[in-house]
Amino acid sequence: MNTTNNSNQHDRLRALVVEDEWPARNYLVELIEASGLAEVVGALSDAEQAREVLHATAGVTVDVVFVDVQLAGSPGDRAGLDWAREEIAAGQPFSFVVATAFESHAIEAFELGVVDYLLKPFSEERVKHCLTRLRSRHPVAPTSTLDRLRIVSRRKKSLVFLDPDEIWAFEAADRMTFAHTEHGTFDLDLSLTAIETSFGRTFLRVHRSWLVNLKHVKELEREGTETRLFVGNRMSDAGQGVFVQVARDRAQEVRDLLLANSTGLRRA
Amino acid sequence: MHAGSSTDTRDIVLARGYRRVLGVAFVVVLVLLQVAVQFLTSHDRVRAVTQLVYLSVELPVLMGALSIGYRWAMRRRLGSFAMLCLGVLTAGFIGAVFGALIWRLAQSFPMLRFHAGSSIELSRAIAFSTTFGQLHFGLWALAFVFPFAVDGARLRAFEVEKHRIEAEQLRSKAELVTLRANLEPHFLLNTLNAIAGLVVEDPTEARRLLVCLGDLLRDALHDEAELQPLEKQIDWLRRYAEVLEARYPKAVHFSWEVEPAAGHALIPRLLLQPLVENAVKHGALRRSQGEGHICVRASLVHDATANTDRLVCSIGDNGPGFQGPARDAAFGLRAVRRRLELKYGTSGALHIESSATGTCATVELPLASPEFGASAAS
Repeated sequence: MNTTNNSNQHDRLRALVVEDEWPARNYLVELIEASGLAEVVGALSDAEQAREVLHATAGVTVDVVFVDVQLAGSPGDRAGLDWAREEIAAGQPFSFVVATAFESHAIEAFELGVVDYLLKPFSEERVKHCLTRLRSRHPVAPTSTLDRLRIVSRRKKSLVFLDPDEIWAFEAADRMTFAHTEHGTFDLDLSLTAIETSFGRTFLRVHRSWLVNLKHVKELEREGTETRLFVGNRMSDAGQGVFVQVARDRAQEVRDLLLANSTGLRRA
Repeated sequence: MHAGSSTDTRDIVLARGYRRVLGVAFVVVLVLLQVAVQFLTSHDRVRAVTQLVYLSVELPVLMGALSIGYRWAMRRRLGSFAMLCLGVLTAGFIGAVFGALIWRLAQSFPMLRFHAGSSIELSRAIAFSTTFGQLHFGLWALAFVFPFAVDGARLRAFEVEKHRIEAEQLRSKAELVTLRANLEPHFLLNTLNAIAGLVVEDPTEARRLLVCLGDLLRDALHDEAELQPLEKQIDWLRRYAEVLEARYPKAVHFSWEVEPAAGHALIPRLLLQPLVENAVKHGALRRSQGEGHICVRASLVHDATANTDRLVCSIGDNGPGFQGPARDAAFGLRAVRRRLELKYGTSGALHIESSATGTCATVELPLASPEFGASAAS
């Protein structure tokens, strides 16, 4: 069971999502992950960042880039298409899929060498169909087990690549997502739900705005009806970590899950 | 304009009966004149009377025949050359018949003194009266056909002008409709996509956006009058802004400074929409860092020279500005300019100021749009 799971993991395409709108970006990441045919290695809001990620030496390996034809941050009416044209002309090994509201854009994109298109609004079916076609056309070479999925985030203007194990927790606050790590806090261009779909196995949603790495949970505190966790490297008095509020309706579940994998405390 | 044109047409049609009377009078006067001249030169009373009698028999017969022939030819839609031949033949034939008749009368009753000198040959009399018939044909044409031809030409010219004006009105109406800002299909589909994404993540927000989009669609699809109160337009723009704020959190933020007194001012439908769209697309979203901000302002400003209030609306953003507007931005600006021109002539205006710290688009228009509004919106 475990082995088949693993081989499936490595058959999956590695996708990069470049989409300027927050809800659309999260949606596409969720759909790609849910298809089970690909995993999302990064989700960014403009072509500039995507270029950086793809060309950085410490960057990520990508099989397919999903890019919106119109990217609002860049000049021109079809910045996404222009960028794809550039990369294809430079002979990049990854494929491009364009996301567009109209098929007329897609026809233009095919002439550039884009392999497929995704019509808006996106749907599970459309994404699945697109990925199936991609896989049949470009069989994925199994990658080494070392090449693990990493998370692209930002600190000021530079991009940072994080290993999921390094991350203590993800926090959503005021339409921004932050990754808390021992190296500091980083911005992410993805919603918690989108991250949860990608890393659901190691991370647990303990609150509407918190996704916690179970491995790094150090303390569970209960005060009356309030429950909170301390997630980090050391104990709360040593101060390396963050306090995380647990939602009331999830408190019992979180407690059970943490205790289920631990011994030492007598169950009440 | 329209009402005036139909009464004019009726005037021209009514004139036809009156013209016929005028034609008859014209012929009678000419005949009397001819007889009078004859009498004054020869002082021959008998000859003048016989001539008068002759003409008052021959002319009605000839002209009646010509009119019947003409009407018949009109019904048959004969060409003008065929009509002319028909006229010449009719006039010639009737002239010849009368010539022969008179020759016979002159032979039998010399005391009627049809001919001044000694009697002439029959063939000469017929040839003479045939030519005379042609003269009467000319007279008839002058009296009855010419005025109608002139009227017809006038009527045709009038119709052409009327059609030209109607076509012009239709054109400017159609132009206004195409220039009218609307929900762009891309906006619609991208918003639907965003809502589809939010359904799982944030159902309350998804619901709120659906309601916003519904309101936007209702107002944009409903084809109402060209003018709407500013407050209605601002309401619409607020919904539009809410959708954009949800799609680009942090990157787009709106603020509103609308003077309550300006709310009732009339403004062309969704005139400001392209300006707001530009402020987002080419302003707020182009910032490399930090929150994009758009401010929509509207107020009434007193115009001292005309002693009236003018409506001034401005849309400012804190984007990087532009030198020589982008292609798609220019289209929106052109449409706004043209609509102002069609509606207000030279009294409406759009100004764009752009610097490295932002762009501001300002629309100025008079509160009432008397003559331009009436002709373009009717």
